[in-house]
Amino acid sequence: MKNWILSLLFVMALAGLKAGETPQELLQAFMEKTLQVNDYKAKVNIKVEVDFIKIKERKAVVLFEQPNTFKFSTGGFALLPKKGVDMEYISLLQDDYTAIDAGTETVQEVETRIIKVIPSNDDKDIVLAKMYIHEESKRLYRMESYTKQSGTYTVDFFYADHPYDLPDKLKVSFDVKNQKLPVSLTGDLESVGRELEKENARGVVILNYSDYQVNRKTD
Amino acid sequence: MKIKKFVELNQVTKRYDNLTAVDKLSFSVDEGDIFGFLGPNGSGKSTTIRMMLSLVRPTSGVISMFGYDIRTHRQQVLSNIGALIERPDFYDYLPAKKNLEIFGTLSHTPNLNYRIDETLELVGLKDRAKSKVKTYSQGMKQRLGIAQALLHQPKMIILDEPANGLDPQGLKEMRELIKTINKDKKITILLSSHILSEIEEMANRMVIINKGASVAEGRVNDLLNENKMHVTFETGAIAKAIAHLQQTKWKNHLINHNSNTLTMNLQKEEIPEVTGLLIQKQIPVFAIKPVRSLENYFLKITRNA
Amino acid sequence: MRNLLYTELYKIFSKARTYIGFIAVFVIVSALEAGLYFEGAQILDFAIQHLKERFIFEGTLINANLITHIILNSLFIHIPFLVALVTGDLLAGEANAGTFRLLLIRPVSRTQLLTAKFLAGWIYMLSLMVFMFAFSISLGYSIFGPGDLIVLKGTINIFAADNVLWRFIAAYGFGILTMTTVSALSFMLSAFSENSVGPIIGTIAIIIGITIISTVGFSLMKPVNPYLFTYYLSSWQLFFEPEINTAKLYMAIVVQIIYTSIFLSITYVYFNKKDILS
Repeated sequence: MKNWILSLLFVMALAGLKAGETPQELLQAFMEKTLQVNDYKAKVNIKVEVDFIKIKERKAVVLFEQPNTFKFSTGGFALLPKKGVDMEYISLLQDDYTAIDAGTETVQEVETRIIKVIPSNDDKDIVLAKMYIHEESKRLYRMESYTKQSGTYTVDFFYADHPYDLPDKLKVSFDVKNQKLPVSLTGDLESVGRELEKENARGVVILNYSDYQVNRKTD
Repeated sequence: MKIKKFVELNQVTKRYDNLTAVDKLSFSVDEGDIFGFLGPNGSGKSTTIRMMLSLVRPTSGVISMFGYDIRTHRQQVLSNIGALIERPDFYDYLPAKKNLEIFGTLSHTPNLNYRIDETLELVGLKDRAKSKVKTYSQGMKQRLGIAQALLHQPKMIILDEPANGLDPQGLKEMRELIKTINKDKKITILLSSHILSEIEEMANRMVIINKGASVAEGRVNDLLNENKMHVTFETGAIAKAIAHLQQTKWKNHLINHNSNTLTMNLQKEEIPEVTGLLIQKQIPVFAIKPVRSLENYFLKITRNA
Repeated sequence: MRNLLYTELYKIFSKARTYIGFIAVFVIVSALEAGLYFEGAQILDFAIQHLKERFIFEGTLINANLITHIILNSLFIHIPFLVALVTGDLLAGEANAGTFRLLLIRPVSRTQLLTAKFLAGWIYMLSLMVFMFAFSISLGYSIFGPGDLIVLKGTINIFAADNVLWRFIAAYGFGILTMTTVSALSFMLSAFSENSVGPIIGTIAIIIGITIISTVGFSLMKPVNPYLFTYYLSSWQLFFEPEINTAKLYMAIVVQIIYTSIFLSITYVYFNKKDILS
């Protein structure tokens, strides 16, 4: 009986330890995992699904180097979302911030813990970020960002078997309501200044990554 | 030997709205003729010529050329005709030779280059073959006009006012050329003009038209017979002269008179006798002006045109 | 007919006015390419400035394909004018010069002559279009090089570089069809005139006039517009949409063919009956 109670208390203590990982600790662990990658090079397939943009899938090569250097190179032309592809969370979490628990949510059939991150520095473009992190794997499954200049955007991270748990796919969604259509270079006066008619128009850019070459410079 | 009719106009009429430009005109041109087509300005000559060349459609009547109706055998007829209508207008920006190449090609002229050289030589323009037509004088353009008419060796050429704009020397050269073409090249010529002397000089047959209608047709010699004349006597005693003539056999020959002239219808041989009569009666004769009756008529209609 | 056609071509290409078109195209294309070279980036930035709030543009869009596409817009006014400059003179010029008197007394039917003249005018138009395409794309390639084509028309369409050439060929092919209609119109007006200024100005006045009426009175004209040939003068743009509107394209082609046939029929009937008084 005594052994049973002691075992129960031990398990409860362990569980309590685990349940008690603070948001800061979770984010710290996430960063430790993330910072294992000093640099990488990968092939990326870019697919733009925005109402008013028609562009076929493009192939590009992406180069990343710590802390925040991103380069995309493509043979022709590629359109990339301004936010979401550049691992902005790295610089966000390397500066001062306040982290608040915001519950849990299932994303991609995985139970994730939602942590709200508020940067202490007013100079940052992000005013609030919501990070959906899986506690066990420390994988970031979703990040919702609220920015001063670029509106709100959401990045969904999908994983396969890439080294260092780098994402297989990013799905960046952003708000295009009130987006003004461009002036035509060819005199199409009918659509000048016309705004998108759909109230809740969203744009989506999907990036599929492959052939990661990680830490080439440090190997 | 039966004479071929190269041209036959039969009751040809052309009306524009309220204006009748040609009024039931009929005449014919025989093979070998230099045919004079005479009429004052605005009498319908150019319109008639344009109808013969299918540039203008007749309102009614039939035009036959070489036995073919121009309306139904246009290409057949035109391949045997050359023409120069009014002022010769060429492609000024092209050399003379090139102009002739263009027209000769359209006329399906065989041995075109040879023919171009030959006709330019004939009209005296061989040295200026490569000059642009805009550098040509009016006389040179007229000659080039004749060259393009002759290029495809037609059976007949139509020349509408070929002397227009020519100086006396140019006129003389043109006349010689026309006669040469007719005599040496055996080409029938229809020559249109408003100047009687020109027709008289060159044509053997003619028609005179006025207000679109024919007024006389026949051999030039017959129509302009020197024996049928209007003779005007200028005298100082008209009343005395008339009174005297009224008592002679010449009374029916009097046509008209004014304060100092009287006009009589006489033959050439009768002029000395009448002159002598007047002098015998002390009637001074200051001048005698014989005018052929048809010429007189033509001058009158020309004045009124 | 071959000889006739050669003669007419010779006359056209011996006239100074014929070369105005080629010189004008040379100047327009050169000026546009120079403008794009010096100001292109700013112009494009201005055009897509709102998009830069949301997107990064990776790669260059200032390339030969962009300039060639921009130049195609001259198909609306400049090229019709340059075409009419020659085709409007084909008959009126002869009347004005008095050369009909020597031309039409040849054993050649007026129908054959009209056909040769129109064909010669069409060949001029074709050579002008080919020159415009060849010059704009070759100059573009030498200055800017190849690249993806951005087309801003309601939506942003970006075509991969290897998916563009056939579109240009098709667009120019369509442009040749619309300019054939313009040629036929000016040719018809030329038959009615003794002076080539009238047909040239008349052609442009008709194109601009109908276009203005179509645009300003849009609600009234809406049912009529699809049956006007001017409505399709810019329809070469159909080839620069991701999904080509084949229904509109077929309609455009049929309308152009019908109008061309009408204009030419009127010309043939009138000219064959016309009294040559010049």
